[in-house]
Amino acid sequence: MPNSPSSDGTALTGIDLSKTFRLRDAALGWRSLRAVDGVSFEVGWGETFGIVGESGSGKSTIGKLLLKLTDATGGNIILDGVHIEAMNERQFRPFRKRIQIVFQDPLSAFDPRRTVVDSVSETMRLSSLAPKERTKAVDRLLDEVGLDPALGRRYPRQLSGGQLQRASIARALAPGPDIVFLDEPTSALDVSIRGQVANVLRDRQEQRRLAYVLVAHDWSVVEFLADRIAIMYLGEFVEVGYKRQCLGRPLHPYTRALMTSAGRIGSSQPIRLRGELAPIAGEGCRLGGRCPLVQSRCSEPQKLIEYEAGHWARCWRAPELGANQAVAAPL
Amino acid sequence: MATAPATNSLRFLVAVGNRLRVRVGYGAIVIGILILLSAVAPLISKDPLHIDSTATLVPPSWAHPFGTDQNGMDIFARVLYAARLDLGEALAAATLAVLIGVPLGALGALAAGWGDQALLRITESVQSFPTLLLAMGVVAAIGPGLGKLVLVIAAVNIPVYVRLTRSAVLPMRDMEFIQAARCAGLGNIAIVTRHLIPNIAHLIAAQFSINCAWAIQILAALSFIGLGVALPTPEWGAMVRAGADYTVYGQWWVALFPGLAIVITVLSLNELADSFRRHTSR
Amino acid sequence: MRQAGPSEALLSIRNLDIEIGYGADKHYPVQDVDLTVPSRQVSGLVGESGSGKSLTALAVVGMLPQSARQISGTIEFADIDICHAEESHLQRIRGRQIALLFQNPRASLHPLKKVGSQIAYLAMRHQHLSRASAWNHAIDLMAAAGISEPKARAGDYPHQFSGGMAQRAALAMALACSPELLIADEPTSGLDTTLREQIVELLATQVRDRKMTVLLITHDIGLIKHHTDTVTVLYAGRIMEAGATRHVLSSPRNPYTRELMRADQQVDGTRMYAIPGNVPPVLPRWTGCPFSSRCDLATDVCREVLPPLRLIAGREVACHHAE
Repeated sequence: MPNSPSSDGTALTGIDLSKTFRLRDAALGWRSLRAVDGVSFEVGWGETFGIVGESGSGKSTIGKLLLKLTDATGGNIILDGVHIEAMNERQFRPFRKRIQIVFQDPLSAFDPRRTVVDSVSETMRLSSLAPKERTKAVDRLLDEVGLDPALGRRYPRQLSGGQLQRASIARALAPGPDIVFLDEPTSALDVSIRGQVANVLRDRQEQRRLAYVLVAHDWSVVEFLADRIAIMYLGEFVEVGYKRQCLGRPLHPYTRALMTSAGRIGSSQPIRLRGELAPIAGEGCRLGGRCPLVQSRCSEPQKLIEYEAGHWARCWRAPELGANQAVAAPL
Repeated sequence: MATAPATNSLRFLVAVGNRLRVRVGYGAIVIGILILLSAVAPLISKDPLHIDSTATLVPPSWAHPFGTDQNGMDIFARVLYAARLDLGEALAAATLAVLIGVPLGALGALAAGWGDQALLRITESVQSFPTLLLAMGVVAAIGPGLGKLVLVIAAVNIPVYVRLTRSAVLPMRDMEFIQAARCAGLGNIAIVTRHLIPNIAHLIAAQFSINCAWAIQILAALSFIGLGVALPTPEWGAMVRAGADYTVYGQWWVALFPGLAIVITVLSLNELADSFRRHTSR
Repeated sequence: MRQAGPSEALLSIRNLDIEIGYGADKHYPVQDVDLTVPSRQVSGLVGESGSGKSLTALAVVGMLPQSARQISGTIEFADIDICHAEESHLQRIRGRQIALLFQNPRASLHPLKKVGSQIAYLAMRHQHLSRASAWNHAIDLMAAAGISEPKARAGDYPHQFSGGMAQRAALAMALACSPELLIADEPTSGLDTTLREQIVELLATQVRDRKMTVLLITHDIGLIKHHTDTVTVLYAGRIMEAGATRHVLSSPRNPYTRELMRADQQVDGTRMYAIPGNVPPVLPRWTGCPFSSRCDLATDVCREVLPPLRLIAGREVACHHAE
């Protein structure tokens, strides 16, 4: 499958991406929700960019923006050197075969009234294969992702979660994309079989130098697939860096809190957040009072600063955290 | 089940009837029988328009199973022939309403934006009129006639399908398999035909059945007040009207049989709708 | 964690068999399951999809779904024979002596009633408190469940609560009548990881403070490891291993338990570890070990003979190759 990497080897770039939703609140007024707020990243060919975050972080919205399922409020999206953020559906259609998405919940990602083969063939229509060749190609693809092609003739509810998620991957890979957005591809699966799906994804990536954007909250999957990681909180990246950097020496309190509750904090100082997710208040750090290290300086706007080569954090106390010397102020 | 029937063909019919009963319910059976009877009407009844002034207002007897009316016309024959008209008109009007209302509702829900809002406002306006009064008004304005009646009844029922489809489609719009279809490059119309309509077909079918029942009632009501089909064309509502006067004088059969026909048909259609609705997630 | 000393069994399930469906479509989601929940401890029941753990919990309170039937086995709770109890007796037990906490907190809360009222209602019904004292009791419970500003929150409706707060409110409801046993079925699934620890620690605190017993049902080995005293491992409707958590998880004797631990503690490598194969979507009556088709130690005897539950190395194991 010829993908023509651009000269600088970057598959996908997001610059200052934003998406603000206007919602009606309970009193019928309008409320703005900044789901994605000035997010920037780069993914190279054959690389995986992992985004870790909890509910409300905006990570799934990024996927909708990249696949033009919703329009960005601001920022740029550059797919293999081409700006796509302002394209309408007609202009973007030729690009649809180059970027695809795997959804989190396999059961709702398939039309319950169509067979699995039917649904996989739907995306295959984007490829240049003739209709007659498509059925054989679909069967071959199902086999490659580890599914018995006979299962393809069944309906979604007759397949197990793991099998259906593999069909979901097959559907995303059907048109031969260069870039795949993976939205929590293993979260709906039992822990004991997540590896099946993860291995398929990794093999495919190595064969074809695919670029992945992986959204996950399962550190095992992130560790296995990602090259660079970003940790996301309330619409912003609070830490970005190479996998070894973020996992070995996390510089942001939120990253540490996530790793602590996942039991992966290792030799770094554990951190536990207080309270619950609260809407954005003011211009300062969005973690606010939840952070045990909070001080008055935290209510000033915090920028992403590069504390070591390729490793950025949005916290002025990052140096202390990096040296494992941060001390929580008694409140 | 009781004792087995004697002949093979009877057993076959019973088996078919049982399958129908289990799969689609009693409603389908009754409607099926009605359609069958109206189709073979010429074979099993007399001429519905034959006037016999010597046999006016004869009570039910072997010669006239449902009796005769004030013109000596056989009521049994008229009830059967009227079935063609009533059922046929109901089916036509409901089908027309579906063909226009469902795509409009689905596209409106999918595309959102000002077109959808305009559609909502229009359907709200039409639905704010009591249906029967609206139908009466339009017919009074444009004059009676079967074709026009079908169009009018279809028109007043279109908003029902628009809203039904719209409310069924709205929650599906953000479902992942619809988004997946978009990622596959499908446009709105393709999404509506390939994904949305098959998943709401059972809801439409249920509404369709109820609609047919309602269409029959509207036609009967219009005919009852004289705006529908003109005598001597047999039509249940008109027959009830004509017969209503005679009930007071003890000639109960003139209005009863067509009235029963309406009731049975409407009830069966409603039951049919229920059975469609029961076929929700399969 | 408490010492697992000699404790009375508060809940005792023996040879539980549940069948679902009719005619040719029957299947058997729970087969010959034993479960002992000692008093004043946190017991864990761990299993993945299709293991039968949730149905087992529902059987304890006599709330199996319409199409499911318990076809054999005994369930004893505090000297009450649950299987033969009248529905009216069961209603007195539910909420009062046995409380339930489910996965989706919003599904446990009535969307149109104030949260405080829902909690107070239970206190009024089972403990016959007056309206005013029930309301205050509700506020105390919400505070104990870690809800900040409980007085104000009690007057709110469920949709105004976040996921984590809703689960705390559901917990407060479960605690309203000081039950002896709390059955928590996946209480943290769907919640953010940072909340999971908070909720489970809350459960552990309640056990200590209120002298309660908890049955924690989950697929998350991490939760089991840190918060339970005993654990029972279920796979495809049958028990694989059961015993003190520190024994079972540190040196598992059943291959499935071992594989589960291995998948949980991924070591960075070129392949991500997974147990090959699937659990069949519909479970037959097992005539051999259910895990044999996916186990790399499986031999003919595994496929043909059901492994009995034996006491080995201080825990119960069902495996022909456990030694």
